[in-house]
Formats: sequence, structure tokens, C-alpha cells
Amino acid sequence: MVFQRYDPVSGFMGSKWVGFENFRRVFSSPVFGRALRNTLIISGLKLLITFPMPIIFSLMINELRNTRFKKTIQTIIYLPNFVSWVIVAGIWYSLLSTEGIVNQILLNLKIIENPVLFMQRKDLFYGIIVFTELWKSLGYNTIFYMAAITTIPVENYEAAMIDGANRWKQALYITLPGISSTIALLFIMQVSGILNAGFDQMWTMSNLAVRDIADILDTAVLRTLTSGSVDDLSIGAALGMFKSVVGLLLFIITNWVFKKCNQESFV
Amino acid sequence: MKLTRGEKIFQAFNVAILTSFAILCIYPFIYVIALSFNNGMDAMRGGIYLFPRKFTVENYTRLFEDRRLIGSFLISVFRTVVGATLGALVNAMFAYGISKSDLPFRKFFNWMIIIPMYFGGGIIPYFLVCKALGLTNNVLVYVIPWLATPFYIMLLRINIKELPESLEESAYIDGAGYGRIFFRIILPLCLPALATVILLGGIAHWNDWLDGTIMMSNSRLWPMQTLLLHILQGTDMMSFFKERNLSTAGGMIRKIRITPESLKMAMLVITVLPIFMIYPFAQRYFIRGIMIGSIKG
Repeated sequence: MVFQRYDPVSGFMGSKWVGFENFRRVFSSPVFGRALRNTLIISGLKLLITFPMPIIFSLMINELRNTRFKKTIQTIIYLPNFVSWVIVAGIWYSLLSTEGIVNQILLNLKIIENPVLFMQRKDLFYGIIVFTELWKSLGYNTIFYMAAITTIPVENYEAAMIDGANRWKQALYITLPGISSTIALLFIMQVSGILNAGFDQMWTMSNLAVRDIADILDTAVLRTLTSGSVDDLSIGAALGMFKSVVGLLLFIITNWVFKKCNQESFV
Repeated sequence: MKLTRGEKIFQAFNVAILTSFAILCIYPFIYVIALSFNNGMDAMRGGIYLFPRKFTVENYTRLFEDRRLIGSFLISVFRTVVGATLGALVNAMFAYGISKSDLPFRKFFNWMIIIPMYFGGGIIPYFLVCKALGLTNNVLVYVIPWLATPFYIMLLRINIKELPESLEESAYIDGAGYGRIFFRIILPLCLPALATVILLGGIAHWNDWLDGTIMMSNSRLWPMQTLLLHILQGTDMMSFFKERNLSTAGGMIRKIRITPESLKMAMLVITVLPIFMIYPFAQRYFIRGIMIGSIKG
């Protein structure tokens, strides 16, 4: 189908074959360049900020000494992950609206004089995207590291304690190396998914005012479907295919790199 | 163990940061709940942080007068219950099948679940396939394409492989066939894993908005999430405001008390409520599933 000028009326069998025409049209269209750039920027930001945060947080949770407090904290911070992005978008649109609490507090503290239209501001948009991503997934992602931390033998800590290492040194020289393979694994998965900038999030949180900087590959594909223009379907499919193929290649490459470093693969 | 001064400071600091983050995670929900129970007109003045100021359930009663909302609620419930249980059954059958080394074409079936984990055609071919199968504008689209999920199959297969083989052998000698072994022995022994799959699948079903968006041109067949998304994006608010009795004075006054904003808040609460209700009980199953999943990539 990606090699056809797809016509829904005549279907797959009846449509005309056009070779790589669709790909040529995709790569030359301005929407593609914009979507690819936005995808890489957003993924890059998430890799830089939302990737390391769960590691720091798991180390911090690990230092908590009251078990019940620890359990409560964990229960609460996992929660946002289980609600959909539609809900998250609805909640944060409300919190950040002109009558919302964020504006109210900033106004009361005299930090701003007029309510800020947070969701309309292009300069704030990426910040909000990274923040809401953290809000939703930070707690949940600590699960992986917490699981890795529990596999570290207690003797290691005891030995370190006898050698006079304080808690800070224990965290730095025992816990962190102990979870390094988990970190490497998740890092590689994140890198291989660099073309996934968060489809649900971008579709639910973006609006017309920020379309230029919020349109990623996935949302561009979906828009060809919802816009109802028949001519766009093949283009959208070609764009989707491009993303899948590059994603698979990235996965194979990163998996190979991981294998080289670790003597094991994750397939 | 005695703490040094530095460690004490760190502990206080640590507790403070984690507590603030936990509050940040839970507070937005409280805010939305408070707003949803407040008079819409009054809420526009702002200043509602924890509790409603002018308590009312009018936002909710208004929403439940809307036939479309009730319809979408029923569709969401249908797909969550039917989709999650049927899905768990199909995944368990698949997992049991490929756990047998004498299954014909076992390699082929194995690849059939591994490939879609890493490579997909994208949503447009998905849409066209569903359309060709007559699933568009058909509620079955919420169930059928979701039946087999590679991740859950892996999870269940790990579980089935852990069961002792002698159990099955003795049942086989007693004359039980594969079907009977599956339903009488395998399924009951995999109950915790099945619960995980049902719960995770149920959450995924309840939270899905994409299928409704792309497959259903008839908005009566949308699940709650899709309807909510359309309302939030402002493309669909007006239909809620076509009051039947706007001409009467009562209708006018009522319209003033309820704002689009307050209706949105009530709708958000209704949509998030089922998750909140099962979360406390289901949490350990979620985490279990994630752990097992993370062992295998």
C-alpha cells in the first residue's frame, strides 16, 4: 500500500502502483521535516531529563528508613501512571488555566501581574511536556530500579559498613554499580525508541497555538487519517512505515551494541 | 545504628522532597474532584483548593441526563470487562500452546508474537484492515484486535513453564485431554498471573481513546475516553449545552450555574474513578506484572 496511490474505493487490488513516489513526497514535504525535528527534540529532552530522574528517586526512596512511609510514598507516586493521557491532559489544562490554581498562586505571590496562558505559550510548551511526563511516569519508572536494588546482596553493605563507608558512600559505590546493568538496559531501550516522542501525550496535550512545535511523526500520521483527505492515506502510511523501519533498525543496532558490551541480548 | 549529623540532615531533606513529590502526584486529583462538586459559576472566581465552596452535585446529574454519556460509559464498561477477560483467556491458550515443545509450527507461532512486539505497520494499515473486516463503526473493534497481546502471552508462558510437568503427566494418564488439562489444571494454577493480565488489560481497555477516534465515525459508539478527549479539546462542548428547556426560566438559571469547565471536571472524575477504585487492590498485581515483564526485556 505504501507503494501505491491508494484509493479507498477501488481498494488495495485496484489502486495504482507508484513505486517510491509516496516516500519521495513524504521526505520533500515540510510537515515531515517539522515532525522529525520536533520528535527528536522532544525525545532528546526526555532522554536528558526524564531518564535520569527515576534513578535519583529510587536511590532516595531506598534511603528511607520507615517502611510504612516508604510503602505509602511508592503507592502514591505510581498512581498517575495508571490514568490515561486524556485524563492527565484534562487535569493539567485545568490546573494551568487562567482561573487555575497555578495562576492563582503566582498572582497571589505577586510573581506575575496577569494570568499566564500556559498552554498557548510556545516557549513554555516543552517545559510543560517534560514536566507532565515526569509527573506521570517518574514514580512508575522507579519500580525497575527498586527491583534491581533488592537483588543486591546485603553482605556487600555489611562489608562496606565495616570498612567505614557511610550511607552516601554506600549508595555511590554499592547501590549505583549494583543497578548499572538495569540503567544500561533501560537507556538503550530509550535510545532505540527515540522516534517515539510520546504519541498519546502529544495528541492530547497539544493545541493549535503550539502545533508548529508539537507536531511529531505519530501525530502527523494520525492527522492524515482524521483529516479525511483521501489522497493523504498513502502518505500517512508511508510515514508510518518509515518510522517503523527506522525504529526496528535502531532497535537492532542498540541490541547489538548491548550484546557487545554485556554478552547478553534482550530478545 | 546511629546517624551522623550530616545523615540526619540528609534524611530530613530526603523525606521532605519525596513527600512533596507524592503530594504533587495526588493533589491535582483532589483539585479536580473539589471543582467537580462546586457550583460552576462560583468556581470561576477561583480560590477552590481542597474542598468545594458551594457544594452541588448538579454537574453530575446534568452529565447523567445525557444519553450519549451513558452510552459511552456502557461501551467502556463492556470493552473493559469483555475485552479483558476474553483477552486473558485467549492469551493463556496461546501461552499454553507454545509452551508445548511438540506443538507443530511452534517456531512460527513464536515469531508471530515476537515480531509485533518490535515492528508494526502503523495505524493507517491497522485502520484499513479493520475497515476491510467490517469492524469500523462496530463495537467488536474494541475487543477483537486486542485479544492477543504479545507481552501478556510472554508473561503467562513464563508462569506456565514454571509449573511442574509431572502434574500434567499424571492428569494425562488419568485420561484428561489438553482441553481439560488447560481448564482444570493450568488456569487455576495460573490465577495470580491471570489476575495480573486481566487487570493490566482492563486498565489498557479503559484508558484507550485511539480506537474510538480512528474507527468510529459514529460518536454514539465512542468509549468514555474518546468522548472526554473531544469535550476537552472543545470540539464537542456545544452538544452538552443544547438544553432541551432553554426557553424556560429554570433552564436559563440552570445553564448559568453549570459551566463547561465544571462539566469537564465532573466528566474527568467519572472517567478516572474506576481506576481509583481498583488501584488499592490491584497495585501488587500491576507491580508483579511489570517485574516479570522486565526480566524478559
